[in-house]
Amino acid sequence: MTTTSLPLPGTAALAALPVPAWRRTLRRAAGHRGLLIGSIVLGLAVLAAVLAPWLAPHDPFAQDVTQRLIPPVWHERGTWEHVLGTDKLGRDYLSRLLYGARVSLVIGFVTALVAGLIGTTLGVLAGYFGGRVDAVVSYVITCRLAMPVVLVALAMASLVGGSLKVVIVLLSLLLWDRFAIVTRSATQQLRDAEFIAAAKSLGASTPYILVRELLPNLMGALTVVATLEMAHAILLESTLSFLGLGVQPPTPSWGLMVAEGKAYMFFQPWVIMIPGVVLAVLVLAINLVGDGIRDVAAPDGRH
Amino acid sequence: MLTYILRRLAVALAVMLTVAVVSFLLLHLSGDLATAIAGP
Amino acid sequence: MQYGLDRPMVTQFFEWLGSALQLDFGRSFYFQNTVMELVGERLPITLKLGAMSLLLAVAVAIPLGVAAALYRDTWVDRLALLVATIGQAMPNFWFALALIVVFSVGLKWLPVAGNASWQNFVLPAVALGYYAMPSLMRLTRAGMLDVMGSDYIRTARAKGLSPARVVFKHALRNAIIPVVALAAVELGFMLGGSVVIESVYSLQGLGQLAWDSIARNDYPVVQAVVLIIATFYIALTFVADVLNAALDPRMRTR
Repeated sequence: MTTTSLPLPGTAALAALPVPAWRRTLRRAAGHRGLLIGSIVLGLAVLAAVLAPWLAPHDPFAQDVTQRLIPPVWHERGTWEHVLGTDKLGRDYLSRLLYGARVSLVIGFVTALVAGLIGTTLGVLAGYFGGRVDAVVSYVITCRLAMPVVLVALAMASLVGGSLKVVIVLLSLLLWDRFAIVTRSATQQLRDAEFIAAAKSLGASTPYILVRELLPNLMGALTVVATLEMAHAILLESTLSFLGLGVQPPTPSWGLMVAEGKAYMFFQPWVIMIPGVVLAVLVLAINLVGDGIRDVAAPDGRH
Repeated sequence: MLTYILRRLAVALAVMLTVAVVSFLLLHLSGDLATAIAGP
Repeated sequence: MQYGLDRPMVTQFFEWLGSALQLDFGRSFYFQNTVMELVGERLPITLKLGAMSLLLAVAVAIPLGVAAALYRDTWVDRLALLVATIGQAMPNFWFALALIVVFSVGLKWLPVAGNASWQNFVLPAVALGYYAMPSLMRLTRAGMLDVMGSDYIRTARAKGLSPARVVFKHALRNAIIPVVALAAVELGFMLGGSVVIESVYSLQGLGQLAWDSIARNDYPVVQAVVLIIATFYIALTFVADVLNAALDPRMRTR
């Protein structure tokens, strides 16, 4: 798309200046609807989680048996006192939702981080050094892939007892596989690239090459996988909590809220509908961000 | 093609063995099994 | 000590393994039956559930993927991708419950619990299968797009074969193998992840058995179930790998 250049001297030369790559990417990012929506929603969720103590109208742990199972505001029996109603113990749903966001987001972020560290390390080592290192790492990856994640997580959680920390550790130890697979194949492709060879010829040490030269080039793929696994972790945590082996009551976790509301779901459906919808929306947002980053970083992919 | 199948088969069996070992270890290391069976 | 716990762990392991290979997993701590008996009761139900779920997922994914590829970038395509994206965001336990509320109670079409007839399996199959549908659909779509743009298809068209025939006979046949491979892997996931669905719908399947046994510290059962499910999964991924590899040399002649 070229603009007609003004006849003034110098402007033609200015118009021909290349736009820096990152700004082009940013512009593309801003135009990507999915990425935009996802980022906004995710940003709001993070904000809500961080500002929960100030945003929550009530204490999420405060029980009030006289206020049990009040429906949300749009119901005929609802009140503005409890905008999203209350649960079976009279706790305000909106407040629990806000604090529950903290649980989900923390678990998502930390798990993605730790699993990312584990997976990336394994993947880069396997991809860069090849040979026996690769054989061993590939074998470990295959073994991990052969294990049914949900079952193993359940078994381990029941052995050790469920809690926020346990969930994070457990999921981090189980969700590193895609990081490893992706970084391994990306490293293999970049291993023989010119800039690596150049660095080697300059006498750079292997750790230096790996961290300062290779890693930045993996960041694109890494962030995409990280968002994917973050969403994965959030869904898994909610499943574990739903089954009673994740975050323990009275800590609010969206999965736990669904479990607690299960007995009432026929006549007071909002107790399970609200946490479920919120979960889906958050996961959706994260997935949109991941897909968006992938599209923006490699635009020749889809359309 | 056949070599590929055989190689994958070997890996599959090795993985099975590893899973068996790992699951066995995890369950038996979670404290003394006798006390677990006997109860508190 | 009849459990042989006084012997070193390595010995214990090999004894267990030896018996396991003969399909003797010992006795459950909780029930009187042998583990194999329990598994034998529950496995068919889980397999039935898994098969139905996969069938449903594939039955929706393939037509949707083909349609999305054929009408690329139109509302059909966008709708399909939207459904896929939303499908992958919903937690399965919640979707399972929502299905019950809507279909069993609200509309009273299907039963709530138990495993008497095939109708009992419809909702669980949907709840278990919906998560696999998006990835299958995307793969079908991508595969179709790939093949449709290939020389093979263009020469077929040039020869004057009608476009519809071209698409369905040749393109689909070529694009289908990776999808079948992925379907095998997804079945593996379903078998492993059936715990939640079986628990919500009160189906006495393998997942439910594993779950209850974990809660009861019924170790022989848990060990056996984990091994069995892992075996299925490994076998399925093996099949998937071979399928994809079989595809490869043939693709080079395109």
